[in-house]
Amino acid sequence: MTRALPILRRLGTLLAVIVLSTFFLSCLLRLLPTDLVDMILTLGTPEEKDALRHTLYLDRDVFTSYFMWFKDFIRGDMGIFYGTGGGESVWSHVTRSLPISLLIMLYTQIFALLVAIPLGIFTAYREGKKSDRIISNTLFTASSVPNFALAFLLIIVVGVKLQWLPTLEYVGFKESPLQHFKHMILPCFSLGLGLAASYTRLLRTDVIAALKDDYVTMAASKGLSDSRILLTHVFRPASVTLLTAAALNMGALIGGTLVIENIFAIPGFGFEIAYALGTKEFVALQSFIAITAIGYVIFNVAADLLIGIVDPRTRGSR
Amino acid sequence: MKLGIFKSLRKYSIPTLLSMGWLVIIALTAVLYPLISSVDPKAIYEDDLAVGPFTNGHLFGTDTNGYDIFQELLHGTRLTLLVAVIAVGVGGAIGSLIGIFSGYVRGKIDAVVNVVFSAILSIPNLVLALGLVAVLATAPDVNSTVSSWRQVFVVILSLTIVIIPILGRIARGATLSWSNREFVTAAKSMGAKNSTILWKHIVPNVLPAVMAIAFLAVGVVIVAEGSLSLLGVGIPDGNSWGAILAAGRNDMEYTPHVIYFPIICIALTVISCNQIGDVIRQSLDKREARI
Repeated sequence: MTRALPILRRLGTLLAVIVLSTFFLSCLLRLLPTDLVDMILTLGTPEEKDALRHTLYLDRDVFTSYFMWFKDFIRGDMGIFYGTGGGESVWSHVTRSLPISLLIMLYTQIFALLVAIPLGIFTAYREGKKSDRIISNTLFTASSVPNFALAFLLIIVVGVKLQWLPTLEYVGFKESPLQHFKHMILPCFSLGLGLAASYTRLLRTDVIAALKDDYVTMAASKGLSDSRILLTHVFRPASVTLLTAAALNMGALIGGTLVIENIFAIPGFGFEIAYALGTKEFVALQSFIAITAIGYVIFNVAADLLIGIVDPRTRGSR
Repeated sequence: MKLGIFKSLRKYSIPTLLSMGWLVIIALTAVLYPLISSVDPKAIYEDDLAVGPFTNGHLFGTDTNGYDIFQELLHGTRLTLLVAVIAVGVGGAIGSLIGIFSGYVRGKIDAVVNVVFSAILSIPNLVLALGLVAVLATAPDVNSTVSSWRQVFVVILSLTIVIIPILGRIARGATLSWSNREFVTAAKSMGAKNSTILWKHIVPNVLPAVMAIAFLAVGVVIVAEGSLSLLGVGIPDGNSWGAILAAGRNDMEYTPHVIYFPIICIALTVISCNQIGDVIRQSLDKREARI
């Protein structure tokens, strides 16, 4: 019971944050300088407009309409595309595009971790030496380069000049696994390089701190090999920061994916958001943004719980 | 006097000095633009369409419309920096005010502020900026579009709102830890007024921490401004670096130099801001360790 309590409290805050941020979005929609219904039905009769106003719960006050919207939202009933989408349901767009974006984020995280873990441990092990200084400084610069800048450079150099990799569109894994990965390399690399750099920096700091801990000296005095100490005694506690950083970076990654999908013409969630934005589909936009917010919050809580599993020392203090 | 400046600069590393140099250059460009350039940035050079860099006096070449990229970039520096400075300055000021206040009074007000900050921060900052721009840049009349200046104002306002909780949370956290320190307790026990404690003891210690993050925030805002432009809702008509980039990307295959230069400007500025923010943070850590 005592163990479940902090988790329950976390879930409580989680729910509060989700409700508040989605409510905030609802309020935002009310801030529109024009009437949403007039926007959708420019040429509609007053009766049609009233009917639509009723479906969108815009005839109620802010709070009731929010709760009605939220109830529909969690059931997956997110309304339809009114203008250019031809009445398609928003949910169908979500199910089509969200998996693609999640896949991109997954690949990016895997790529970033694959680069960051060896580099982070290596630079920490060689702290202050020349190889550490070169790698650390390069990575610091790399982590500051905006991902769209990297994406454009890669498109021009790798895609257009060298013609090594395709730069546009998306191929599903089931259609052709080889083409799928070929299409994913450039987007994931441009998203992942900065991420890898910031992970490496964090891991380096953490490993350096862990290397100075008493139990490491103890392990060394028992005659364990350096690599054994690094992997079993140092990496596990140091990976806690990495998990936190991975969760914190999800926000930037979601935003980055949005832009990168548009640059590489990948029909993912970011593409849908940009589309809804361009065509002023506010009903769809509200649900899209709500989904990103909820996803982001859940990532963070999941990371927190994972940290408790990886490093039992933190369980009590949180 | 002159010697003093050089002496105080000597303690910084070369990358830091380069970063400072670059930021000073673009700041001067933005402020002194009318003195530096008398050429119309939107002048069309019909004889030199889409020429590469260093041809016919076009330092960075021209794009397919015949615009001189160097002149456009010089001109774009103004709005790019204006957006960044106002968003971070105003957003940082409001955020710090809320953060310091709620961190100092604690209790219920603080709890509410914390949840509100968390809720806003739970929306990824670019997504939030997109939503705000989309809503605020909608014209009251369905058939008209918003004016350029209104669009610029909306971009600045949206990015300001995005910055408030980011810097507000930093200010709150710093206030929470500083207001627990011995010298604050001592001041309280001596009967100092809350306003005195805030101004004399809390604010001078919290501001440097906010400053360090504010430099990072300038980078975030410049990237966000570029991203908004790429998504088609940023500053219009090639009037900022992001807008030049967005305009150039359609002809990327034929005139890659059109996007190289804005990319270089954006990247150098972001790298410089991060570098300086990092230096401030490190010097704070050192000071902290001494105390």
